[in-house]
Amino acid sequence: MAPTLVVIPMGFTAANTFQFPPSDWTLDRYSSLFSDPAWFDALKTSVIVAVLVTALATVLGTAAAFGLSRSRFRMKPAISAVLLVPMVVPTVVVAIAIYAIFLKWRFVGTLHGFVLAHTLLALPFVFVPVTASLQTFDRRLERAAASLGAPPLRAFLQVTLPSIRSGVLTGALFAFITSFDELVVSLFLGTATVRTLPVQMYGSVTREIDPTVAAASTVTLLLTTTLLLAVLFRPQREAVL
Amino acid sequence: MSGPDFSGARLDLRDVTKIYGDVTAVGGVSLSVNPGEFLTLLGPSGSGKTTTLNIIAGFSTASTGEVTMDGEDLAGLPPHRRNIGMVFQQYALFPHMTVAGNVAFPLKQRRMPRHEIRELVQEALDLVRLGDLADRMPAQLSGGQQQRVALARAIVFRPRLLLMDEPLGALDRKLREWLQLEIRRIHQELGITFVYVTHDQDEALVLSDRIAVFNDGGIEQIGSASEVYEHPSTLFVAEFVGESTATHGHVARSGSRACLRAGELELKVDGEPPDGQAAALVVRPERVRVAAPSERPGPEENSVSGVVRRVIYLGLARKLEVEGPGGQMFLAREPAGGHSTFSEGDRVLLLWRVEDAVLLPTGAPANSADRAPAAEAAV
Repeated sequence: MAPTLVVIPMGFTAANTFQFPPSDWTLDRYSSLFSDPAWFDALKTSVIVAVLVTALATVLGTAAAFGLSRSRFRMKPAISAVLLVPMVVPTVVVAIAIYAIFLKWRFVGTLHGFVLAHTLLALPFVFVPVTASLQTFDRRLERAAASLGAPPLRAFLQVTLPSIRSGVLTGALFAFITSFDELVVSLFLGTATVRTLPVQMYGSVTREIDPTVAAASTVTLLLTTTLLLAVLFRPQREAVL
Repeated sequence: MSGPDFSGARLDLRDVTKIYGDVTAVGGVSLSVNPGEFLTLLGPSGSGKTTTLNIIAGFSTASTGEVTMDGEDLAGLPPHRRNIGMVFQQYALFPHMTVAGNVAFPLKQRRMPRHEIRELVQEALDLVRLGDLADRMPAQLSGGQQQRVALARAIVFRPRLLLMDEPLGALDRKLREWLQLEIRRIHQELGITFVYVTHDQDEALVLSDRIAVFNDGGIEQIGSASEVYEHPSTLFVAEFVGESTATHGHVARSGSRACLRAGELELKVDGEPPDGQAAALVVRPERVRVAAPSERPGPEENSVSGVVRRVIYLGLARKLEVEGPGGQMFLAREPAGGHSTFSEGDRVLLLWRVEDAVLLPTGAPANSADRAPAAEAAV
């Protein structure tokens, strides 16, 4: 944790290089992060992609976990394993595979390309906690809902989902962070015009020495930590009892 | 909560079977429940009673046969469109909703106006005497209170049929007895049809208008509580409902009347059963009189001499286990406060009137392998 914190003062340095601790202080790095189109567009792209990925991966991952928990289908373990592949296989391998396919589909350098690729990576992070929540869920509640007149979809939304919401929320958080921090696949998919913040940061440290990267890091750090804390310390009704 | 269109439904099951792989969970069950009746499906676990209930509710599909409610075939109708209330053993309250939220759930599914929902919820909670707990969460309630909320939730939308699956199974005895009376009261107030599943024979006797005794996927007997208790039609019913002593033997003749011969015992029986029939003579412990060995039996009495092996004090009564000839144990019950002074080791004479015992054919020939050995006392 401590080394990460070093970037925070570095984002305020007035020198044109990385300096710790800074000798002079300025807010210039933040103003260039939000005014320099290269940085600001990358930040915007990252946020849009991460939000879309969160929505998509949460819905798909929850649906997959629910469906698999209910089926008595013989291929069930195999399908669960396939869903977990992106978590286990080295990201570079996944990146090359995605790149090869996306080249053919002309998805490279597009917003939907990023969303699709990141969703694939984020799916297992939703699937795992939701599956765990479903294992402790009492299915008789769904029977009760049905006997009281709720059709299956409404029973799911009004009874099942509230009961497994901590798993779904955890999954959504990890989906967001997975997308927002993703570098390897994004390096392949990024172009000069459409790139995410980690790609811009990576380019910035490899090609030039620009302390704006420290400001960008601070923003990333703040965003992810805030989200994490929000999920961890969200008001819990059960805790009141 | 009674209204002109709010009466019990008629339910008919015709030859319903349920087969899982090679296992027949329910084999050819037919029964009719009259509007407003309280019918209990009683049986040991695995006897098919819960499967039958799930078929009525729509959670399980019958392999063959049909289920009709007021003459309408329920096949293909999913549970949420059957309009049948159901109470589960483990309450199944929605943990994220308040008591009032739980009870309002079925009304919201039916898109009722809000003020009407509020009224009906209050009415239902008052009926189960929980009117002041509307804003609690289920986890803040005791087991008995939770089950009463579940009951309110199951009747608030005014179903004409209510199913209950061992609703009191998880509660302690005292609470169970009180809730049995509550359930009876609610049944009488609502006038709707109740189908109740339990393995507890006392509960079945207290609650039911009629009892269907399940065994091995089928109904052994269906009748009123007193019919099932006083006139069991099979040995299984006699032994499952209440306590009894069954003496296994063969029908023979002794002079002008039929009797059951079992080892050295010869017991007079009523009626004219066919000679040589394998049968069991079943007698309830409270019908057995314990007397001194010197007492002479009347002409219409059976007598068995034996030795008291155990005296069990039950508060309201004393139960005696008496070892008769051939080692068979007989049960006798004497009301508390009687004059009996017999204690363990005493030699006694057991007497009962011929009409107080029931002779049940055991179907199988004399040396049937699937029956328990000669005699047994079901406790």
